Amino acid sequence: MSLLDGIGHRFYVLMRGEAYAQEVDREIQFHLDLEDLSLSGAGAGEASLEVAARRTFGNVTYYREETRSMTLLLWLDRIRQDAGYALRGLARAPGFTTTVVLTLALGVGLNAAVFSLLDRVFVRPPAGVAAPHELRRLYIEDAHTAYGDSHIFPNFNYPFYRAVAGAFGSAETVAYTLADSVRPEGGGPLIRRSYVTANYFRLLGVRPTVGRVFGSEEARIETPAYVLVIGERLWRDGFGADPNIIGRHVKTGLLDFTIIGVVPDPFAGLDISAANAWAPLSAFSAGRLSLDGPPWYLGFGNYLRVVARMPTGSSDVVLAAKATAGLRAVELKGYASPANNSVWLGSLIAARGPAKKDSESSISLRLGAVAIIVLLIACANVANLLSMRANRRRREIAVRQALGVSRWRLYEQVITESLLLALIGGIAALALGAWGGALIRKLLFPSVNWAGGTLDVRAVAFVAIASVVAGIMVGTAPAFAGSRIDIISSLRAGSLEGAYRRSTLGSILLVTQTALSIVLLVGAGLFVRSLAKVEGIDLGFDTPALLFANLGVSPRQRFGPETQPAFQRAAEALRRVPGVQSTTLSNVGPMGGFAGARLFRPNGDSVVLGDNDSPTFVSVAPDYFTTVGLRLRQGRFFTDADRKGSEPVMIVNARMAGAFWPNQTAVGQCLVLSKPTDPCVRVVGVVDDAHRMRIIEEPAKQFYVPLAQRLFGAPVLIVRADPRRIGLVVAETRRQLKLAFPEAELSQVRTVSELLERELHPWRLGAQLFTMFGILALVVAAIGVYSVVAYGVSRRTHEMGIRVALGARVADVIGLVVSQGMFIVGLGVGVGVIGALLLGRFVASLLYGVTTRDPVSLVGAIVVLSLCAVAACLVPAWKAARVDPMEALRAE
Amino acid sequence: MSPSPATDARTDLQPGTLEMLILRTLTLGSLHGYAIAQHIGRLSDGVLRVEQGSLYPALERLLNKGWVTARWAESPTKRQARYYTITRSGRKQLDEKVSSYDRVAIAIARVMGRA
Repeated sequence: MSLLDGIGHRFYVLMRGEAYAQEVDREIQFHLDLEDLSLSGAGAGEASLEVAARRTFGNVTYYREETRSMTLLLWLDRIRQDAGYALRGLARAPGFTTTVVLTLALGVGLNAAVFSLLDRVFVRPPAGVAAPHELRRLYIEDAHTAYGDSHIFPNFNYPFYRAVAGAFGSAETVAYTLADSVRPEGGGPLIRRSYVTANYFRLLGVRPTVGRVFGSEEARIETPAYVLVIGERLWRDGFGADPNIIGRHVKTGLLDFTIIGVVPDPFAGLDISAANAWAPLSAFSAGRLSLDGPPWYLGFGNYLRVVARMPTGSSDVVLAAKATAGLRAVELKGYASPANNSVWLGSLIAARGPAKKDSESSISLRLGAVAIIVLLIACANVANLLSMRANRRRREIAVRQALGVSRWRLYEQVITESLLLALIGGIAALALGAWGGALIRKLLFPSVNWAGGTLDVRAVAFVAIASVVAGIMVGTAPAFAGSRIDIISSLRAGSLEGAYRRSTLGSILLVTQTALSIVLLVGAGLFVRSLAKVEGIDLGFDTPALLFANLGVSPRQRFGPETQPAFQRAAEALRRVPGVQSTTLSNVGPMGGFAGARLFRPNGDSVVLGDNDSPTFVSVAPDYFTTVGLRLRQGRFFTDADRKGSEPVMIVNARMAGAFWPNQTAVGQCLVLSKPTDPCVRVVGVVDDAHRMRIIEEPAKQFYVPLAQRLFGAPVLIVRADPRRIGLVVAETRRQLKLAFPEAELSQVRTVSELLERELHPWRLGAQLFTMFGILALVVAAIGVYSVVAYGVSRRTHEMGIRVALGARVADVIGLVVSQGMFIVGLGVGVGVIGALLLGRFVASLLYGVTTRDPVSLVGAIVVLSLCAVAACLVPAWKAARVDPMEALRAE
Repeated sequence: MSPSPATDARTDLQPGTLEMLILRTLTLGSLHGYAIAQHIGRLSDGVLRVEQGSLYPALERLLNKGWVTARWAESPTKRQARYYTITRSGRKQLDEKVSSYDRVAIAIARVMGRA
């Protein structure tokens, strides 16, 4: 029974552990004793006896090691021993340990944060859904949009959804709206409610734990059913896990919902932004502008997301073709024929679908690459620190080898030390990652309501793997450098021996770090410059000084032109408030949009222009232009004399004047609005161009008409305030609005800057995150430069002592040290610039107004890095220059 | 460089050969390590010197394979020693090793013109 005997022995060894090692020792001792006896019997002298025994047996420690290395437990035991040894070593060098742990924590923590973000946005299917691989999200490709290019989006209107669902046949589809946030009356947690088709839960395989989900009684779109299914978490947090939850009411705004069921965690809808309550689609009002008029589900508001479950064996291509045919058959009143539209089937995970990614997702993808670069820099830095440590310990290692420790054993010890460092770093990284992850989430997707925490099992696993890989990566190079030591020369000489040899490995690592830092700094520079360019765009308004107020529309309330006198009074009252410079009225706020109208030449020819390029207009009060800061080029502004009934007049912007009356004076010309039979409207002035809605938009033809002559709905109140007191003015405007319209429910007061912030957000984000990461990289690289130069100086104390003794001045020594350090940095900068130029195209699509070869960013990055590197060199250089020659020469 | 026990010409044994010699020696009865080494040395007139550094690792390997077993017992000098005994599978293994060794030895002798 050889097998059993063998296993029995191994088991015996395993159980005995250290005791077995003692057994082996005893056995060897027995052997030695007998050997002694037989040798002394041969008459050898005491001194030569020892030598002879040694000669016969060789190095006893070595054999003992050899024998012991054969068992698993001893191997484990050795790990424990190595770990203990490494821990003691690390505790003796707290500065080194802290630097390494922090550097690794930064690198790994950042990656954990970005990893968990990318995991959520791009990788993980929605939780709690049965067989997510069978689900497809549907997209529409609109081949002819107003912008002239085709674009794909995941939004459907109800008629399109019905058409596609019908064409799909056996593949069933659900439609749902993105969750809105409402605060229930009587307090409680925020309800994030999505309106869904009645088959939603059944198709997704989500079963209620209490009550029921929607059924056929909620299926009819025409009969609103105000019932609600809530998530388990809301049930616990908002209703104290009430077992009698069914039938309880939730009042939100004007609507009263009855709870009919609870669905279990972790289901939170199908988007990254979590929902916690679901109502039937029939209860959806689409924020309708009025109670009369056609219901939303007959129109073309793209409120719906559509997801289909694919029957096994069905083909995406065939179903997409069917759906496209169904879609093209739809006839919608007032909607351009969908003849060129197609349906696409894509990933359930919206960020992976065929639709154009939002800039936040695009930025987060690039962040992944950036995080890896930061990790590489951190690893290079730590490897450098470790190899310098190994170099400092040459003598110790040589002694250990002389004592019979095998090279492999030494390698194990170095690897153990670096793994240990990486693991401690990993733990610090988890803390950092949780914090940084929350920060990045908030920065990147401020409006997303995340289900679950920043770091989960996957992220922790990621950190563990990243730490181990980093540990082995940073440990390998120094381990080999450390174990390849010439024992004799290392033992014979102190640090004097071989004086100073620059470590090639250290230099390569330093060049790598510097180069990668340059890449990140250039990236940061490009984003910062883009942001500056975007912010620097002249919108035509004095944006920082402007705020506006409107009444809003709700299903119950609609305000019309009759509110104008009350607005007028509020505007006059506000003018007396300190900080307010002027007030005015118009039909839309600055950057708030525009109205369209058909235009005719005086002779009745209609003005035919591309869809995209038709002039649009704003109705404004006489003091509008001075309030918003639009400059007059020709003619005059409106006056109070431009009333209803007086001659109809307009003011055009410079672009429209140039397009309609090239080489002529625009003032005095006239155009007919709306109907060819209407009276001609005379141009009385030309003003500068101003943006209509977006910061980045093509210049548009725009004209202005007096509010008194053309007003359809309620006006908007525009206030120009001292930018320093804008907070106060906002509060006062709010108060005046409340006084004038106490019954208005949805009135709001906002600054134009707030309005713009949404568009600036991606730019600001890119600039912030890249700068943040760039600074991290810079700090780590500066630590690297410092430690390499400082190490070099410490190795050359003797040489510096001689130099000083021979009359080298402080400046000479500093110059020598700094120039040698900067030579390596210079190499890194060169490599980094090439890298930045090559990698630039990956961010090119996110930039505005700068090319990836932007000299300002390149030079800026080089200057910033070089300054930091010089500073990092100066500290050790200064130390070197102050070496006391006597002391340096006497030492060793 | 770490010192190596295998550089002494007299002890240059092929890997596996030492195991064969140990197994052969143990067919005489249970022996402790020192006795095994002594026996091999004596029978080879001191040409084959088994050193502790290779003997005990070899014995450990044999234990792991289950070809020998070990137990502590009192030696004739009244001291505790570890005695090794060959197992049945050890004997089988020895037979195989001997026959393949014989084949190789005869083949070498033929090539060298000695047989």
